[in-house]
Amino acid sequence: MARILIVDDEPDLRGIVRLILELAGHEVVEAHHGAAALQRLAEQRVDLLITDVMMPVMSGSELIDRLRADPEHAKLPILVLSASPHAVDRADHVMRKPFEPTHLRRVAANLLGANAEP
Amino acid sequence: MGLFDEALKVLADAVDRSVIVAGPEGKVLQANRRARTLLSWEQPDALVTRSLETIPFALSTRSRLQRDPGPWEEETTIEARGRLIPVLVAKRPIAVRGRRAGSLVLITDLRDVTTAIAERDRARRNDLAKTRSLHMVAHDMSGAVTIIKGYVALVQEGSLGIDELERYVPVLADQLQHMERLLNALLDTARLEEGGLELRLEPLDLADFVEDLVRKMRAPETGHQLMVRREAAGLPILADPIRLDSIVRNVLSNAIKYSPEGTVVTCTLRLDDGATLEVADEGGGIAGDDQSLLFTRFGRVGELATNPPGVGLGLFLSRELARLHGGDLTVTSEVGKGSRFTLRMPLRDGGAR
Repeated sequence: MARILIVDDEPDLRGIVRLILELAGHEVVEAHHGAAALQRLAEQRVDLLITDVMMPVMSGSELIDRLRADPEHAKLPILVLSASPHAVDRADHVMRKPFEPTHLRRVAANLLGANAEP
Repeated sequence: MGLFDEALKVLADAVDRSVIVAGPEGKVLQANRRARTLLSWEQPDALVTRSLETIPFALSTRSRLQRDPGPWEEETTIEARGRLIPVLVAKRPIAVRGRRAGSLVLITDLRDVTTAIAERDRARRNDLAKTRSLHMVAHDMSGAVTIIKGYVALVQEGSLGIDELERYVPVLADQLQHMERLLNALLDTARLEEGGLELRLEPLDLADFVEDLVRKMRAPETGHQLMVRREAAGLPILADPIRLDSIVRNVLSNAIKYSPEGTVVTCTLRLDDGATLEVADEGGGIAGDDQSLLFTRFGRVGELATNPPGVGLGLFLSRELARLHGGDLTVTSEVGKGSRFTLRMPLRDGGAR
């Protein structure tokens, strides 16, 4: 089973993403900004990171920069969910909000790769 | 003669610079309306006695006007009504059938030019800020749409039963309300620009209102503590509850957004010149220069991508709404010592209890 970390400062947004992914059989953990996400990642193994861009304390862009610079997490698949038209180029995929649940599940499955269980 | 001359006079009066026609010896023959105003040559016979050398330019310009037939132009100053005004002077020789017949002197008031440039820059900055704040509103709005759309799509595809959806109805209601608030803020901002904003006043108590609102607000996950201190028993006011809600929410969410996690935001309700709500945070504070930016139409302090999202028009709109009530919204802050936003509303007739 894949474990997915969702980073967003809006709890209800994490809620719907969680439900979509849990219905697809994934395990979900949450963080409310970039700094909280780094803490989560230090505590447990995560197979995919889904993050917003504009967040207080630490933005999604800064989070991605830090992860890419850290050998342990440099290869972690990252999906950016953003309303902003500015793409974050160090992410593996950028998805615009709002999105379709089926689209989110498909992209997550692709990023998790062939060996991830659905 | 005739029509063409008259047309030239009309044209000369229509241009936004001073135009003076002088004869070969520098005697002033004609001056357009703008020139007569600038040089206080308003009397009808004033021109008769004038010559170019009497125009109160800086000395070097005066002597050049006399000896240099032109064409030339230079920046200089002119004394008008006891003030030195920066101007651009241009002199063009006029020849009639190959013979020097006189000259044309054009004076441009550089204050007009700088004002025009400043105005254009201001308009451009305002446009940029407006675009940025539209992005902000769109960002906030897209979160709500994503959430509502997500639940509906799950029901539509059959992954979520309609009975299971009931559990999420409070989430949907919250998000719809959030969208309604954003929509109201956009509409009110537009109404303010058009001057068509009307308040629906009701008698209410500011202290009760704020206490209720704080109780209804979800505990922020940032660990901020919202404290309410009532220093007055009652604060009766006349206010539009929807607009008052928007003002108070805005100030509170601002305090939460711009202060460190886990700190305290204190709402103090007191009676002084009026009914007063003071919201104090333990944040980094706001530098003096930035304080004035806070309440500009689309301003947000330190416009950085790393800043938390927020509707740029929030504080501007809040202050305008407070003023429409006859009150005001102000800030006092010192870097390193947090900020204090003060909403002051006029007391309802009958005064405080």
